[in-house]
Amino acid sequence: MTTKRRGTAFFAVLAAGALALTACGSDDDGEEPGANRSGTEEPTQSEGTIPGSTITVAVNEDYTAYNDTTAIGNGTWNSYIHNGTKLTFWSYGADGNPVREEEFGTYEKVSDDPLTVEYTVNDETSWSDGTPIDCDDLLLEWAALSGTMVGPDGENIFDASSTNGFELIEKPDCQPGDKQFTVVYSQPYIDWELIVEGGDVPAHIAAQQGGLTPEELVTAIQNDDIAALTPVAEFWNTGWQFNPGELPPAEMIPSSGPYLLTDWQAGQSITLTANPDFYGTPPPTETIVLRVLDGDQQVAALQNGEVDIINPSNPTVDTISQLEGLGDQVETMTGGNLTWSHIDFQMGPGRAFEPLEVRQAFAKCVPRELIVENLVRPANPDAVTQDLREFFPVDEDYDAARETAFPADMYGEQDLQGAQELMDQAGVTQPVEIVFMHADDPVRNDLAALIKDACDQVGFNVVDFTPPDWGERLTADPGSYDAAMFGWAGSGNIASGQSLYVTGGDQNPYGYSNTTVDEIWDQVVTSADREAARELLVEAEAELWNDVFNIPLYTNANVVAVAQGIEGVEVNAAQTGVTFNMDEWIPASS
Amino acid sequence: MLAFIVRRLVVSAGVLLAGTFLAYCLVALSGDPLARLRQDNTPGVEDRIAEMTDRLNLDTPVPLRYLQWLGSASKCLVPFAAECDLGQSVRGQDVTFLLGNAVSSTLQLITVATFTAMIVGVIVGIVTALRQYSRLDYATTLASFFFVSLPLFWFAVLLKQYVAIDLNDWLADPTVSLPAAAIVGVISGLIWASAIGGDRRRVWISFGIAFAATAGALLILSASGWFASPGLGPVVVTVVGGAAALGLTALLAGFRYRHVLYAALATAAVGAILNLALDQVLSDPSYLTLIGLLLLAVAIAGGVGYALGGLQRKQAIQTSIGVAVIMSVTIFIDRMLSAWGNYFDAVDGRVVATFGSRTPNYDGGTWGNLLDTATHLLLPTIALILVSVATYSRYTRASMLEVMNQDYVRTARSKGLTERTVIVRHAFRNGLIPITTLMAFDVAGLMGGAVITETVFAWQGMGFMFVTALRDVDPNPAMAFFLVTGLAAVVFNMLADIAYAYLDPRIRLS
Repeated sequence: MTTKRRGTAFFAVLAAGALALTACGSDDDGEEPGANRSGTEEPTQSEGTIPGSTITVAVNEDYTAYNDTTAIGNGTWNSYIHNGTKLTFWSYGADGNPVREEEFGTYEKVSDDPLTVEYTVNDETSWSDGTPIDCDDLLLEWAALSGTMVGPDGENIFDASSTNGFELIEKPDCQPGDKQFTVVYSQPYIDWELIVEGGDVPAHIAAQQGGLTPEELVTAIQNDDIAALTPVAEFWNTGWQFNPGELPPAEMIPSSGPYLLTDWQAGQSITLTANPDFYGTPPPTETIVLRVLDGDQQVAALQNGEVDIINPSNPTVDTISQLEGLGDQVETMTGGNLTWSHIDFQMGPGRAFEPLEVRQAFAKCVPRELIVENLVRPANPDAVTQDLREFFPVDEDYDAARETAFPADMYGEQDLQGAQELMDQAGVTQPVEIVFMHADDPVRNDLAALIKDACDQVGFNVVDFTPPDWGERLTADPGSYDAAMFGWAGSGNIASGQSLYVTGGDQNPYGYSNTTVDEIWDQVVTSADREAARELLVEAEAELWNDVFNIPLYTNANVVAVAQGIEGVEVNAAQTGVTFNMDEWIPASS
Repeated sequence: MLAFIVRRLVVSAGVLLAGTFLAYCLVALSGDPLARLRQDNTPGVEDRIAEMTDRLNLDTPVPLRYLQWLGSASKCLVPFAAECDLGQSVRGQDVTFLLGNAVSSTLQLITVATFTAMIVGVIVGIVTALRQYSRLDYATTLASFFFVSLPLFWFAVLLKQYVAIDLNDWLADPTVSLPAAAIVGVISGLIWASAIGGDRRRVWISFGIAFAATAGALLILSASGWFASPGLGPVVVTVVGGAAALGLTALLAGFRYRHVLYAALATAAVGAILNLALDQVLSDPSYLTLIGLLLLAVAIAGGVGYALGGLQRKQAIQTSIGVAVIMSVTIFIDRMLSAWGNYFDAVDGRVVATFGSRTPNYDGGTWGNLLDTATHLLLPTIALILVSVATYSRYTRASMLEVMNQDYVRTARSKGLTERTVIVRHAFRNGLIPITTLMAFDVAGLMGGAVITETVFAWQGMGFMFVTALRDVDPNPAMAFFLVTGLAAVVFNMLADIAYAYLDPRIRLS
């Protein structure tokens, strides 16, 4: 788990040292129970969990479900908690890329054709009730998420949030108690690392609630015994979905991670307590309390000491200036996230944006730098314009990719004169009326005003269009708008980008078609090598800029503020939230 | 009267039905509940969109969806069927359950605030009416308009800064400096001097006494370290009891007949003794015990009043019960403060909370938990009270002034009744009639939760549920809110009419 925070281990050592010093200085006995549980571990880990330590963190929304792989339970608000209570083969790192969790288990790609991955759960890895994590957990995960368990009515008996990836996996062959299993894909798949989790929901509980023993569950899945699996599926669908504050008995919701979910006050707080019998490195903080609080109110709560860590949603200039006003009391960190705003064009035949020159002109007149300066930089001083689509400024390879794929001489700066020339070249009657669709919120309205100001000067007439159902219109009524401005919430997945750009893709209602791009995406998705795939994506980006498929604008700012003395908190660009490395937070030493 | 009520009920039901239809359509058409998912680019998002569409019937036209909702919601009207189904929220939660939580937390939030606002507002209104065009009157008028027009969002920020954060900072080392004591003293002096009134000399005397008492008390309390571990103790409880006995007697009966005074003083004495005698019981009582003790206190007070009241039996009982309630509240506060040290340590000295309804994982016994609730209620209650007090005081003042100019008040005066009797018996009662309507409306309105207050202070009540529902384009919780507030409005209007008829016999006759 320490792998999530590469490069900051140094601080952890320092802080741990400081803690040890203060412990000796203030306490005559010096020795704390639980400290130095093993002499062979690194100094960072020898501290163990500090008894009585608590860190309180504000989250924007309340918890709803233990099973976050159902369609209904799949929400970031559940990830905030599961970051601490569930450990799996991998997790999203701070930049959205997968990070291996070697304390849980290991995996290795053993063959490219067919794509075969061998997973090994560590021997000591178990649920917090002592049941080892093994074959039955994997099989249930596969059965629930592969979409193959179809009931008599033709519907999947499991309400899975997604069958992505699992649908390509052949039924794993393992026996009860096996800690090692081989997963074989029917075709190569780029995101294979992000599929099998292993420690998400406990199969032995689901089996028990469905009236089976774990062995019977394994047999039922091996034999596709739908009748036997139906009660299990019913529990899997609804049994781990809760009314606010109604936590079931602890044995129903065991943890695979360092923390146990011990208390839940509806709409108020969720308490996680370190599992004393955790198989991996004990987390430094004994208790993590998550308090539900709207982003606007979080700074005052931090100032009053009611919460120690905040990560307000949609941070504004005000958030930053308030935090600055707190001076040394808090440490403020800023960064980006993976939610990026962009302008998409309807470029089918007869549409205003059909001629390439018109799209190029629009890309030249949109004041991208000014937008970042006005809307993003106040909350994230390091913010830059988002110049690519599948690469983010937080990515290590962003700069290199931008160098190759982004035509900086064309769109690096706003160029009204160049835009005007392109418009004249296009030979269209000016002004070109553009129905510009976006959500009716203050940020989008400000953006639209800036764009209208600039682009109306070069022969466009940008008309604001803010229907409440703009999201539905994107695909359902492409004729009603010429350009749309909205955000995509990105993730570390690569394959999910395909449907945005390829001919006839589900999320490409724009009439965009480029055979090179289609080919590149086919290669990317069926590759099994992340590095190679990202190389290919650079080529796709260049094509997308040549065609001016769309105009990326910026990524949202991300602000984290931490009370003085707490170490190990990081800005997380991925959707998993600031709690993603709670097992590495080190409480203030007073 | 019965026919009137039935007619009102039928009309109200129709209005409610039409209202639900309108509200449902407005919420459902206000946006796209799938907006969040439509901007999501993670794998399998189509499955989740399909699931939500299916679960919330999003592909059904809105009017038909309303009928479906009405069908299942109408089952709530069948008593004891336990079939009540108000649908699901966007996040898949059972709305009936959400509603239960929201109602209980809203009631928790508004009960104290409403009653305090009513009592304080009415008292301020009466005092300003009696001191019409005095400095106090002008000052209160100014303050009322100020508070009524205050943007609550901004006010909440001020409260958080000064009453929570700064106060907590101060509590770390609670000492009152000489200038601070002087400033508070001057303010107190101004208030008392203008409230008591009289000629110039009396004003200066009132000012001087109030100034000295306030500033002196602050300095003494500061020097004795009271702010670091506040409490009242049996002496203060006894003094408060005695003062309540004298004050209430003066207000309700006067000192001409001694029976009332004796009864009140006897009640205060019994209260002071019981406070000591019940020390064991009061150290960590259950909530039921507390309610039982309050009832016991009222019963004893009633008995004392009955036994000692003589000819003024009714007034004696009223006065004694008043004294008993005031003493009970004082003892309650005293005991709650006994948990101060424990609580102070538990929250690291950040006593006043800026949000939420309780400290997570704190269990300080009955008194500690009550203190915890009180510190969380403090800010929202102040915010709610200031606005309502302003309204109540203005209405009461106007109503009292009108009544004081009535012929029957002049008649009462000319009969030679004391000013106290004229005001308390003749003017005050009639002056309250219009306020009753206001109170009924207010209680109904408050059932809807104080939307802004709940949002700013993260209090998950009705208002919060409604705002969240609107933001998520989530008709079912919004409709649950509408149902409860709509019903409350109908019921309390009716109660107001009935109370009106009870208080004003002329309405019954017509």
